Amino acid sequence: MNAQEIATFIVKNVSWFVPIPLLVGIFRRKYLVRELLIIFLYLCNGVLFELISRTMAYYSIPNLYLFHIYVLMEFLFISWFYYEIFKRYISPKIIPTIFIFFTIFSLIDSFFLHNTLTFNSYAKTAECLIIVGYTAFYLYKTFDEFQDQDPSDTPVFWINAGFLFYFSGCLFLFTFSNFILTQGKPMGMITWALHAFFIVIMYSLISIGLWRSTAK
Amino acid sequence: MPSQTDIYILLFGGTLLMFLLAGMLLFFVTTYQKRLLRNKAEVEVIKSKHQLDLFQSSIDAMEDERRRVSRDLHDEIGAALSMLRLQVGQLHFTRESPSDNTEKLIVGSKQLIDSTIENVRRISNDMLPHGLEEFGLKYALEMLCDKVEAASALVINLDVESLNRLENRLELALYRILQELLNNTLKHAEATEVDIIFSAEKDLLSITYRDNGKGFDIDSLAKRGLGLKNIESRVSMISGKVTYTPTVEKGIEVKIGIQL
Repeated sequence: MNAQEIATFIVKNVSWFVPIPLLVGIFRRKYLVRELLIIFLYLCNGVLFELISRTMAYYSIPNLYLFHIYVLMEFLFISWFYYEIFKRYISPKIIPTIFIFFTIFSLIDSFFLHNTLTFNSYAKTAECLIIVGYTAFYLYKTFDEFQDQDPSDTPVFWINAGFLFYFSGCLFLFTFSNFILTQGKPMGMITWALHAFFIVIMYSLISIGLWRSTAK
Repeated sequence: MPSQTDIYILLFGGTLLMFLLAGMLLFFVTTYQKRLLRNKAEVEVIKSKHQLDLFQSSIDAMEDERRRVSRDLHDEIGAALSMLRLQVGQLHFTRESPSDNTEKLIVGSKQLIDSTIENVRRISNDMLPHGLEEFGLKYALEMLCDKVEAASALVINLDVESLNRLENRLELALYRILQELLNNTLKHAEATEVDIIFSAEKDLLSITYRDNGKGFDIDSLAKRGLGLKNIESRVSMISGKVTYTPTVEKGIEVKIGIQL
């Protein structure tokens, strides 16, 4: 097996990893507090888009425009998750405002800067930067407001770590996504294998976070 | 214009760099938080040790004061009362024909002095258990149990065979703990029988105190009264551990373990 075959194998099989945190969430459903329920919805959204895009690909229907919608939905759930966490610390208007601006920018990117047959790389890059900002702010708050608890005992810490690894790791991949499309299949496969690796890390950490949920 | 290789380096290098930065950030935050937690735990240990020392000092001061008052009562007031009783007794012989009234006064005074001497002796003994310092805990506990049995319907089975002499401070603390437990049984338990068993194994001294009374709800231990708190404080002061368990007969079993 050469590097490209390994990359192809990873990209084709990463989808099997997607339902794992969802199953953990179902198993721990009694203990899911509000913010964890939002993560559960985020996972459901991910599985739904995966199913639709796989089905469309099976029938050879172009599905790249789904990614444009997915970016918005993903940002909505993650912003909602951080809204629930940050509302004690910052004005509750800040995150909805960020979401509105991001939605406008994303629509501009999809319809004017790129088109629905290419990656909306500007919007995705902006999403990565904002979410890395959210994760950094969460870590700052953990740092700033000392709690009598090991941070790694809290579910949100693990989920935040998953988002931090995924969105910081994928920042450059999404920024260059349209460039990568022009570089041929081998380059594309290696890049998306790297993306799949970050997906596996994120979903593993989200699974740990959901597993660590305790009584409401 | 940057070459394709430059772009690849930027892409993969940037990805790796961001990933490493994220990892380092998480590592830094968790390590720092864990260190803070560890430091806080150390401070808590120092604080509780300081509180224990303060408590120990106040207990020591109280016991010293009790010892002093007890000795004064016994040696001075007790001796003075004995002398007074002797003198009142002699009044009887110094008068040639004592009137009935005088006779009654002398007898009444002697009774009053006798009961006062008895009270002084009891108070003095409560303040500093007689024989504890001289003959040890074994002797003092036997005296205490005899006294409780004589004053109540309680039967006390005391097993102190394995008990050797201990440090004065430790013996006094154990005496006070058992005194408090007996006091609780008498006041609240409606028990008829009490077992007090000492067992020593290498460096561990175990004391089992069991009564067959009505016991108490273990869940309500959070609201435990001053007596139980005193027991816990005294046990922690001698670096011991105390556990309360309801027994099958619905009484209470208290186990105290002390590392010698």
